[in-house]
Amino acid sequence: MLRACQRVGVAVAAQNCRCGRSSFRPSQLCRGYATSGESGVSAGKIIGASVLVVGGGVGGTVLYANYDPRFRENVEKTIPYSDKLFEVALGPAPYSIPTPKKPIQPGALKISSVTEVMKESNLPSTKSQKSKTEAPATSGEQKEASSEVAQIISAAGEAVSIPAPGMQDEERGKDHVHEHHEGKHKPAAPGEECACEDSHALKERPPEEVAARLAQQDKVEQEKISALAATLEGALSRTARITLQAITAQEAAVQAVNAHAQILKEAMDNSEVPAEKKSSQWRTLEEALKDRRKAVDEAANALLKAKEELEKIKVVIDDAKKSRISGTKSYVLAAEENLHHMIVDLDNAIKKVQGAQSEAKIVAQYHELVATARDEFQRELDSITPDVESGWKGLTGQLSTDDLNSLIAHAHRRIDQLNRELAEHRVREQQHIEIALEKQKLENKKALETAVAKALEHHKSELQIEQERKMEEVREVMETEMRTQLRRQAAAHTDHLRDVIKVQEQELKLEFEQNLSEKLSEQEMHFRRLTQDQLDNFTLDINTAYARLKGIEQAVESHAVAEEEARKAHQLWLSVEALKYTMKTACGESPTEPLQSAVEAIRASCSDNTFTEALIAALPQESLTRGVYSEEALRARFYVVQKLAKRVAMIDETRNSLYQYFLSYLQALLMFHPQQLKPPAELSTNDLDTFKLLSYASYCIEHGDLELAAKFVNQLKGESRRVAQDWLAEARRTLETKQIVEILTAYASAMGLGTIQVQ
Amino acid sequence: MAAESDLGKKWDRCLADSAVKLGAGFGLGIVFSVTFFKRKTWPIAFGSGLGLGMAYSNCQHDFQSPYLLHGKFVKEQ
Repeated sequence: MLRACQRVGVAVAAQNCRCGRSSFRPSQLCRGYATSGESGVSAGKIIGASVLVVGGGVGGTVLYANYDPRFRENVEKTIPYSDKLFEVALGPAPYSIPTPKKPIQPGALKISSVTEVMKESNLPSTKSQKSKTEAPATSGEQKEASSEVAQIISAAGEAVSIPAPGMQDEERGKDHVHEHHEGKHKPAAPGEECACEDSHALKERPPEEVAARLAQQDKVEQEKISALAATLEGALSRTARITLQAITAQEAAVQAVNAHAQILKEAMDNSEVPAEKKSSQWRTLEEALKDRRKAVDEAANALLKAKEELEKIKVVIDDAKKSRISGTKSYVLAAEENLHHMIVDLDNAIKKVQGAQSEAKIVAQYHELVATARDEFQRELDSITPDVESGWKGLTGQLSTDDLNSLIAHAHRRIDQLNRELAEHRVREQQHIEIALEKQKLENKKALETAVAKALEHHKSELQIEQERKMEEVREVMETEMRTQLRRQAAAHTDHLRDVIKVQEQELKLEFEQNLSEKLSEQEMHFRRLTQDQLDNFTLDINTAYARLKGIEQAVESHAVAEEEARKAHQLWLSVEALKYTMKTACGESPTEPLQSAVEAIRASCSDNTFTEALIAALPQESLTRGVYSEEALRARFYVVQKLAKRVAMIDETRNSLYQYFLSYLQALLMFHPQQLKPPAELSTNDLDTFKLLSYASYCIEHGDLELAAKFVNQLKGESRRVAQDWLAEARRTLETKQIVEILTAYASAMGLGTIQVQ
Repeated sequence: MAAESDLGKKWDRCLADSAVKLGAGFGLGIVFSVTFFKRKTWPIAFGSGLGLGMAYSNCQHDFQSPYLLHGKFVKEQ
């Protein structure tokens, strides 16, 4: 060993020397290298080159990172602490600003503005324009109220765009009222409705009543209108009839006058006609004259009557106009038109009659002139030839030459006279013409004036009618406009009302609900209290009964349980006794019977007892299968073991050669130790000697304390221990089994004792 | 039981083995002495010594066998 240590020390020293020697080597080497020369330069070159490469790489990376920020990010990610280097070299990394979101379109503003517009609705004209343009754009987004307003606006727009047949409005009003000519009441009805609603703000009349009132009012108006219309119609029809009559009369008069004039003209022209014909002619002429007179009279009468009727109807129309009922306007207008037409026709007829009359006058004048001329001629002729009759044309054969001569002379004289007259007339022609022209002019002027006056009158009346119609139309337009505005107002009013009512409703609802819930909770509490009391009483009774029942049950059960326990304990005790008995079956050197059966019996007798189970489980396996040795056997065996242990007392791990064996045997031979030594209360270290331990153990064995003996034997070391191992194991088993059996016995006795009922 | 009789068994084996070896050594010694070494005594002694030595060694090994450690050298990683 020493030599080994020496050797090791030498080796270490040699190593140290070697190390020391080797430490000088590098400088030598360096010197050597320095002296040689080329090797140092190459090293320096290598170092320089590497530095250059590294520096170039780093610099290149930095430059490229400066140029490309993504590359910089990548490098920073992969190589730690490179971001610091970059910061130092280049400054902080640029960061990308995220694109700002586009501002949200303020679509809501438009809607609110429109609704505001809707809500205000004070200036209908301008707002209607605005709303008209916006309503189609935002119609889809409006709420219910606004949609209604939009409807109204569209309706208003419709009404505004169509200038105006009143019939359209009437048609629209069809669903409100029954008759078709009550459309004019629509503006009145909502206005009235609004008025009603405003006046009865607190008390809301039912819609049926309002409708009934409106219907009644409509009916009254309708009656009035119908009456008026009837009167108008009646008057108109009468007037028309009479005017027609007048016109026909005038026409007849015209015809008669024309006929008369024609006949007269014929009569005048055809002077060569024989006498009878002439007389017949004159007679027809007279008849015609009579007819004419009659017709003219009739015409005049009819005209008078017509004029009266026209006056009357004018009065009626004025009254109707004054009555101001809107429904009558059309009738009034129509009546006026009819009147106008009738007047015009009448005037035309009168003009025709007058024309015919003037013509007839001309013809009559001509006839008179001719008659006077003829009479004069006749008188002259009579004065000259008194016996010639008037029908002198047929008497050419009867006249004498004197007569003829006188006649011719007379004729010559007449001709001369006439020639002179003619010359005179020719001379005075111009004057006459001028006079005539003047007269004509005057007459023309008069006629013109009358015609112009009449035309003017007609035109004026036409214009008036036109104006009235236009006024009517404008009024209608205005009416519709007013109606739409009123409607709008009504809508706004309804909206406002709705909101207010809603709010009120909410409040009232809340209040009532609160009230209701309070009352309900009160009732509930009361009810609950009552039921609770009942339940409590009932529960109390039940509980007492139940408790008693339970007590009885428990008593019975506990009895049964106690008996069961007693039985079990008894069984356990019996089985444990059996086990104990098996423990005693060891005889001589052989072990006991296997305890398996007894243990099974115990297990069967008390399978639910964890304590027993644990104990049974703690039994060593060999005791179950093979049995345990008795104490005596162990005792006997101990002596053998003791002897052997003494013999090999010196043998342990380190000393185990044959020589040691020999020595050990020698020791055992020569060692005289007391066989039995009383063990002390405490063991000290020098008590752990094999011999002493064995003597203690034998003492214990002799005094029946196997446990202590086993403990002492357990303290053996080395070969002695190995020799005693088996004995120790057996002793341990026996001890364990005994202990468990004792515990079981104690337990069984305790249980048995516990189940005894002290009477 | 086996533990305390183990020693006795070991002794039995030892003695038997030593007897065998001794005898064998002795015999061989005799043989060699007779055949090769011209009836010198030293081969006999040598042979018997050899036999005894072997027997001793075997005996010792047998008695030491519980205490012999068979380890495996595990290289440090």
